[in-house]
Amino acid sequence: MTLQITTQVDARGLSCPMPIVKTAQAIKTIASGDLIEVLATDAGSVKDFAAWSRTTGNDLVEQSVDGSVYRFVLRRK
Amino acid sequence: MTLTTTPSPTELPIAPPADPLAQAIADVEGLPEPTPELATDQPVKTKELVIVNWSGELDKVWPVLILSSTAAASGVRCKVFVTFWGLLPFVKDQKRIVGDNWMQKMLTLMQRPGIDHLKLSKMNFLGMGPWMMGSLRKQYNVASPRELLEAANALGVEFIPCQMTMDMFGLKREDLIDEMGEPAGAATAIEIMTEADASLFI
Amino acid sequence: MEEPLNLVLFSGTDDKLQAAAILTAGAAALGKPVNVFLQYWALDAFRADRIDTDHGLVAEAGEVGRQAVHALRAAGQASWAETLRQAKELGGIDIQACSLSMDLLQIEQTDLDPLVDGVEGVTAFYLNAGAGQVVFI
Repeated sequence: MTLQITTQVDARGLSCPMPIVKTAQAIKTIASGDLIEVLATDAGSVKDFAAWSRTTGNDLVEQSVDGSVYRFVLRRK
Repeated sequence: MTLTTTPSPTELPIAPPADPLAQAIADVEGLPEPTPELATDQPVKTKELVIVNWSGELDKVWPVLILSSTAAASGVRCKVFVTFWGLLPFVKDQKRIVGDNWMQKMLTLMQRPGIDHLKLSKMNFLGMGPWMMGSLRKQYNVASPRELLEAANALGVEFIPCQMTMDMFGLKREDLIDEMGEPAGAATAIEIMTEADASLFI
Repeated sequence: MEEPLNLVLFSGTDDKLQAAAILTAGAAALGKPVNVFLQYWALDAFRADRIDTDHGLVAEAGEVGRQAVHALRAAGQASWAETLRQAKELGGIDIQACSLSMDLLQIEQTDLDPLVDGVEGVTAFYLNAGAGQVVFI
């Protein structure tokens, strides 16, 4: 099953806290239940996206790493 | 007005099993479950202190370690977010030159990392200040930063290094002392700070 | 209503303001309201004509520390003012200047960067802070 991604955030090369800030901005533009995909290179983002998901209630549906690029898929609350 | 119509609960005789059905169920199932009112041992939320350790100077790191180890010793959960200049004291001692490029290496040559090489923010006097602090500390039997760090760690204080700072100094996880937890960023710092009962920026 | 995070900014060096901006942006991204109260040298750094200039670093940074910070900036890290502008787009951030510091530094509200929403006293700050954490930077 492939997930239907509504929007993407390319936060590669951005340092903390910009990956989270860009994602928070972008998730406001999609409907509840829709998915957002984030690419980041900040190693701290692994813990940060988990924390962000817990605090905001937007589910972290998927997460993976490919070399130095982290990928997160979140579902808007 | 008569008081006899409302006897106090202590004077009530032990109630006979009024409900035969309940009695029968109790007979079959053995002892009844404790009623919810009796289960009052609900987990009391442990108090939590979060410290952002931003400065790397002796007279700032010291209170951070004193407060965090005291908190942990007092049953207060304590997390320390270690960021900016505050990260260098938590670099391994034997690690003299860290970083990827000449600038980061030069930086750590000038500011020797490690918990035993802290400078004072005031009255450093080319190391005389910390040396005098050290003598006073021994004279008055105050624990050194290293001893406090070991105590804090043994008491379960959680040290969280800031990933962005590690990038800035070219530090890898293995360059930091083993007591440090997983690196994280601002969202983690905010989560722990706002959930804590008190947060300090030192 | 969620309790806000309340930051009192006192120091006006770029490294402290950067740390404060990152905390503010992080909180805004988490949907937490943030009240920022600007005092003394931090307030001075928010003057419209110098917000984007170099405000130096704390003494412990040293010359080479300054270069490390600038290298990070050159590698693409946003300045603290830019981080705050981005974070403000998320909403929930209120930046107030301390009225006493305004008098002390002889600053008018028109001298301040548009990032600053208004001027208030310490009582208003504490009323808005509610039961939320107060962090002094």
